[in-house]
Amino acid sequence: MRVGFTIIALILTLALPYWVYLPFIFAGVIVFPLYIEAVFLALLIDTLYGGGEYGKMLFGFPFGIVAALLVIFAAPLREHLRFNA
Amino acid sequence: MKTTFRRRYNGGEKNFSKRTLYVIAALGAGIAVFYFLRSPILNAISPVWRGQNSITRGISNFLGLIKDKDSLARDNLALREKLASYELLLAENRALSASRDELLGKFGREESTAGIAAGVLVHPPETPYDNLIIDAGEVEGVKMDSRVSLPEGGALGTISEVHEHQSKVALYSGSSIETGGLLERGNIPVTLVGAGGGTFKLTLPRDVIVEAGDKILLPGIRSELVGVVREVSLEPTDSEKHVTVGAVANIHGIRFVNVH
Repeated sequence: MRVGFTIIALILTLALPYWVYLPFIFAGVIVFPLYIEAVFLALLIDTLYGGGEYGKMLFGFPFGIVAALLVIFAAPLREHLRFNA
Repeated sequence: MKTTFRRRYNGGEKNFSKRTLYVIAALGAGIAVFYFLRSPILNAISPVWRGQNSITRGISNFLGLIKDKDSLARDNLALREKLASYELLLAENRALSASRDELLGKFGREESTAGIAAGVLVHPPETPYDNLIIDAGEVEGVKMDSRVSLPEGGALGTISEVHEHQSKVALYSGSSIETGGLLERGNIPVTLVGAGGGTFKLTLPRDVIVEAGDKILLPGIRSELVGVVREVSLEPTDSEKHVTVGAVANIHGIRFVNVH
């Protein structure tokens, strides 16, 4: 399921607007434990679509760095969430 | 009575540090790989974008066919009338352009080439920034910081990255990008600040006259159109007018550009 999700995210990144693929990738970070694929997808977005003005401040990979931070801080958040009432 | 106990959280700090190091290592490796493989990745993805553009155009042409006859006839008539008026405007524009080029030629300032025509592979909103990716690169003669405009005129931006067969165009309307311009009404120098989505923000003193529809030109001998005023807002207590300027074209639908 994780591999399928990543493949779909990759197709969305190439074909659809940013307001479709960015929330999709963010959902993957929340749903899957340690979803490191989000970092690589975000780096691909930076490579393909350019860092823009913000890229000049974050080594040219702003989405990649933000995705890495989300993955790091999503893990303890997932572990502390209580799923059973 | 059933009681649910949450699983004991063991070794939290150690796990967190390990995960952080793992993610940082993956990030570092990823940055190194993507930085050096930028051009090959763009070369590999370009056919996908071209195919996607063809499919999108094919689908919209097909959807046009399944409309009813009357509606098609009406659309056809409206489009013919629009085309006729645009042809007149184009003829007038060409005449003005030719006389301007002749005048510039007398001062030794004519443009030596017509520019490099390029197709747009990707435009907003597929890109999260105000960038275009075009299918002309170093091999086709594109150079860094070259000016990019629409084929029919109107300044769009500059080349920000050049690869073998693709280039990236940073649009003037990109967020926080400042561009010097000239308000046509009164020849007033202004600074356009990109607000993203093909719009600019501009502030002017209260007593400067500006209205919706006024043109903003790039400074320089060619005075290319860069934006058109869309909205002017002024509160009674403000000392400045806040002006919203739109780009020369809808950036979500640009298909061809010229690189100078």
